[in-house]
Amino acid sequence: MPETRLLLQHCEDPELRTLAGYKRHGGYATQEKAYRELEADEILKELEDSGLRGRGGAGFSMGKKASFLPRGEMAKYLCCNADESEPGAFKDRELMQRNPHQLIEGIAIAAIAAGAGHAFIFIRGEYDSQADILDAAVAEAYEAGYLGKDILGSRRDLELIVHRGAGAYICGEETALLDALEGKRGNPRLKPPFPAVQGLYGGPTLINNVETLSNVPRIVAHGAEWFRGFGTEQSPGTKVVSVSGGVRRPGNYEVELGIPTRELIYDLAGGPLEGRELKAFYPGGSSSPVLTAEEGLDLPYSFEAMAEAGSMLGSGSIIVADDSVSIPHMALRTARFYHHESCGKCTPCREGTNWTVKMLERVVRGEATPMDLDIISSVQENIMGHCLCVLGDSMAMPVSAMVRKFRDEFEAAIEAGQAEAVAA
Amino acid sequence: MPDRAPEGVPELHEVDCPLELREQIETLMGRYPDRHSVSIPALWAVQRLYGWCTPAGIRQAAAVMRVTPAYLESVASFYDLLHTEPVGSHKVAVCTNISCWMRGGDELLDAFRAATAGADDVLVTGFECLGACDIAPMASIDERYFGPLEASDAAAAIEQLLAGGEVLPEKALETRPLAGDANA
Repeated sequence: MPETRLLLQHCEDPELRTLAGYKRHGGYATQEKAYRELEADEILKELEDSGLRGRGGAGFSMGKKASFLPRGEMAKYLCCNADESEPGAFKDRELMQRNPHQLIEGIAIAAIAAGAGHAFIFIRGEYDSQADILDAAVAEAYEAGYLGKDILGSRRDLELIVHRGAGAYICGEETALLDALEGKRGNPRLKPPFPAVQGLYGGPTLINNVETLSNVPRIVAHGAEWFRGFGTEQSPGTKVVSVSGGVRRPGNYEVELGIPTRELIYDLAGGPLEGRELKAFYPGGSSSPVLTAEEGLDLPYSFEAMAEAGSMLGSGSIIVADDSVSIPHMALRTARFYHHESCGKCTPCREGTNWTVKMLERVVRGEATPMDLDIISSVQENIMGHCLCVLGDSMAMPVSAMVRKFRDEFEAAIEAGQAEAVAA
Repeated sequence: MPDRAPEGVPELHEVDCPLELREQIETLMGRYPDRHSVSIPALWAVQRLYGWCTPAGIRQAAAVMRVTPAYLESVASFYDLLHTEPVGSHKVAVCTNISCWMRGGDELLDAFRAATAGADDVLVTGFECLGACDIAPMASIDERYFGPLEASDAAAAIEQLLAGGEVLPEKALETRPLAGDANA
């Protein structure tokens, strides 16, 4: 199965990142049409009908999210979440690096639907090179009149700022992102109120991921029906999937949602390395419960199939673990990440990630007892759903799945440690 | 009782803020609907100027922004990329997260540590996922991404870095084609 490149179309052209190059491939024609001819409701309807689901992790309908913003004259905002920091995810980086104007055009069109006069791209500080590319592209777009005051003579204004973060995974959580953008420590907020009602500076705010917004120009250009011609009923469109870990050709592949997961991992990414076999994989970034080879390889790669299998499509990032990978060690790496990134605001997450790391360290050092595995599982249960945001859940889901599905590996690690202690 | 009240908003004439820094922060303040939003960009500006977020630099930014130094300190200490203690003038962040770990990230970190032993000017850290698992194992060297790296690349990279030359040009992320085009 070859790729189906829509978002990554023309990405082999290095000139694509310039305004002239982008326009040569038809870029900004949709924005011109939207600003001159279309009303907010028309764009909103097209986005809702397209069934486009958020590509940042939650998979919520983008059009519906935009429709939650109140009508009327008031300061409203649009934030593009470019804080891609989920282990395994690197597709937004590719999209910004190769086609920044596609994102800018998407933001400009979505801003009409949201009624936003100010837009921000919140990009993680580590993506310095991509932020430079965006800065240059935004400057070009201002210069050419696609941003700023009275855009294309439409009497609509839009200011767009590229805002660099400074290294914190939590800022990818949408309310933490708002706090960071307001100049505070990036702590999540209590919801409700949801950002659509009360977001940035207290105003209604639409927050969407880079890939979600990059889809907007084509949907508005070709229509919802066209978009629904790709993918499945519940997961329309294409998805840029990041495949990494134990595969021969790690990288981003754009495919129609719903293709067999096996084709993504084996045909596109080349399958496991020489002499290795696939043991398990995270289907949607490090926060998704791992699937074993038997469970996951023949599932369609779609939001609904992954949810039905007890996991999730998340950000669309597959991490492959081959038979050389120790699952207890992988669980520890996973837990360490969330422990490091927990903002500390909610006790179950702050303490739960800390104790999970300590217990998993005992497991891999062979100092644990089998009872510790049950305690690890119960700690995960006590984190789930008990915090302001899902950072803690994002550790709890994969760690509990690993302990449940690979309990024999954890027990073997513990037994090996005990045998060593007896011998000593 | 503390022997003095916490510091309030410093006056500009008390902090001796370089004009360049002041202008940068003021320009930023003009772009955002609320001046507080510039705290991270202002701290980036301080770090660019002084190499790290020095207490004096934080006071200067605070005076321009009309906030307390403690406010900016609290922001700076939250984020991994803002340094509240002196660091070297070069920074190497080696990813040790899942995908890089599977492909030798820990060994790469060890190699960079060995290659910089005694070189105080280079800060080497193990880092959480940098969003470049396609080039695992990888490192960010002075804010630019390189990979996939062999442990033996570390010494060469550090030598080039300290000599002021171009670092591992053939391993730069920007030069890579899309994965699906690489074998076409």
